[in-house]
Amino acid sequence: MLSAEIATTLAAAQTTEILLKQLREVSERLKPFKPDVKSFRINYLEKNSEVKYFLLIPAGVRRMLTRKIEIPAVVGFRFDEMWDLDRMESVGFSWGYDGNKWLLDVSKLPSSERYWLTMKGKISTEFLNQLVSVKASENPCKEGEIDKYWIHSALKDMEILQKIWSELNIEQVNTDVRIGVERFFTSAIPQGVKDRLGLQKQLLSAISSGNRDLEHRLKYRYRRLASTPMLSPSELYELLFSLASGEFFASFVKVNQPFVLSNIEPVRSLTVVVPEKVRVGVQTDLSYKMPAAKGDLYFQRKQYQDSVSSKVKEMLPKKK
Amino acid sequence: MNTNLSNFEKSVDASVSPIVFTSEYIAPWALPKEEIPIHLVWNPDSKFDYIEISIPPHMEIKEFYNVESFEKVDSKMVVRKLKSLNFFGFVMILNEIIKEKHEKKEIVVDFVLGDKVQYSRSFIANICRPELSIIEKPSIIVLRDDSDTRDLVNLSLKISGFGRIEVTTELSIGGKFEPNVEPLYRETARRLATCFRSKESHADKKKEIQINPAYVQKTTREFIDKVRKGELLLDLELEDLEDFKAWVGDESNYTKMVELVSEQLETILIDSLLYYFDRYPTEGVELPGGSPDIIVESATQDVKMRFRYKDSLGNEYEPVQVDIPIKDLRNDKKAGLKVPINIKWVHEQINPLLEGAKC
Repeated sequence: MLSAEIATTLAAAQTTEILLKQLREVSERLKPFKPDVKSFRINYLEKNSEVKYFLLIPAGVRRMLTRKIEIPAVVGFRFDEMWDLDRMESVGFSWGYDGNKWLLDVSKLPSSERYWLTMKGKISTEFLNQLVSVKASENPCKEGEIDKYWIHSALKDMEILQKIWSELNIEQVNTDVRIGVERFFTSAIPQGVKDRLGLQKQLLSAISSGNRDLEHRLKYRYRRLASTPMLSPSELYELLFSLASGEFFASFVKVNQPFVLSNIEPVRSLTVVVPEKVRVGVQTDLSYKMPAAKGDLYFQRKQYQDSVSSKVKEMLPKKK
Repeated sequence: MNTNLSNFEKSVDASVSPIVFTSEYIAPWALPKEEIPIHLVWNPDSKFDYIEISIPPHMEIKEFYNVESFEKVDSKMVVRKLKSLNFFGFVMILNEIIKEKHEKKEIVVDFVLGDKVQYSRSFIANICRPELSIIEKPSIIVLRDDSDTRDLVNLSLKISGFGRIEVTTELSIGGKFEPNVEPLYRETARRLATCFRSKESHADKKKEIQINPAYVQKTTREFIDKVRKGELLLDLELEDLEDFKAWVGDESNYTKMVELVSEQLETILIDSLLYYFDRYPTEGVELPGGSPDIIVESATQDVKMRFRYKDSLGNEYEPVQVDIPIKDLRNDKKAGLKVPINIKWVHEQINPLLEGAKC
């Protein structure tokens, strides 16, 4: 085995041990009320885990013997919700937090016997990476007017899951597909607009260099062009960003089962002036029964291109 | 699992009930060095001792899914133990650049019980690459005093194969190809850093061009915040960079900064947009240096143009070179001349799915 693999395996084992230890400690604290773990979920996107306990807290002797339950914050799990199963309603006041630990005053609970307790814990990115693999194609395959990207996700280590919970679910396993949009914008902007921008650039440069003669000639040319439809640089910039927004882009992408679309947004970074790519989030759930998921993302390239062109045209005549 | 590996040819056994697969997959296409996931899910009661993977030359397994132990035996990988019963997968890559635009690599996965193969599944990895080639070029460039330089050098380049490319142009005479424009904030920082000591303001001189004042204000604020948080300027090569950083950090310079950013912003935004339009000349091609020009300084040499290109994973392919002789018939042969290179792009991309891939 390679050293990197050994390190990864060790790290996975250690993280699993920590998680198991945390869960054991929570169960230990709840022991007087016969905790029974009903579900354990890991949410990949939110990077948290959720464990649901069924608790039996009958009024009477047991409540008298254990008046308070304490779960120290260092355990790593926090209280999320307490549900009264006899009355089918949430128990609002039940758990308190004093900065160091979660506290339940059992004597304040209603007379019901059966409860759901939901606890949530943080999961590190490293742990998730050891647990799940997500991949998407780097380049699309073009099928007529549609661009197709393959997407795949799989559980890497089912043993970890079995140790924790045999029917464990990992929800919202997210894959990002990056779709390049730069060329659509470049071709949708009419040459006249580009020419006028070029002239603006020359004019600004002439003004700042103090070349009066050139400045006057360029101003003359610029005024002659003023009757052609035009967008200001900032309007153009805002328009291009709106065309790469999730709101506009979402109607041009779809995925097949078992995947669903999640967040769609332009890839923003300090070094990008105009968006060049749109990040499309794709999600699926993985479980012991479905350890791997395969699918495709379809981008309606031609439709998007046509819509971008017509949006640009819609904007232009207003600026005559 | 059986640890007794047989090296002789195994026969497929029809006497034991076949393994029923509920899901199988190989990524339908990939670039060289792109990760290719493969998986198989089957009924938990299926019987086999071990799984044997035949790996084609220059391919390697990067990662396993749900595998407890494995070993390499010659060109094969033998999976001895799984972490749970009915699922197994791995990620492969081709570790070299292919010569053809599309190459198929066969990966065979055998499930072995005793010395019999219970099930044999063949996966085809479709590896595709882009290819750039010259279709048309001028046989000679003739410079005359009345030459229209805009229509002097016309090239036809073909992009075939598969996938996006990034093309960098290199010339052996004159012209140095740098990106025309820096990205917005970085360029703003660079310009400000060179003029922050100046007392003069050009704010009153630029009323000809309209720019949305709200936009200017918003961007100025964003820029100043980024500089103050230290997210910018890290790689600027300026002699007085430290002075500039101190100047930005000084609250009393705030008004002057807003003024300077506002003055520069519009120029930078226009430059950035023009650069953006120039940078993506056709679908699937990125020209980080924008459209190239030849700067003719001494016209006694040939122009040598070299187009280097990479795919979106950064794999670099054999560059394309064009040599064109120059004949200078101008009266003043020493005058520098800027000659744009006009490129016509021809597309001939393959569809790996139509080339026999299954998905």
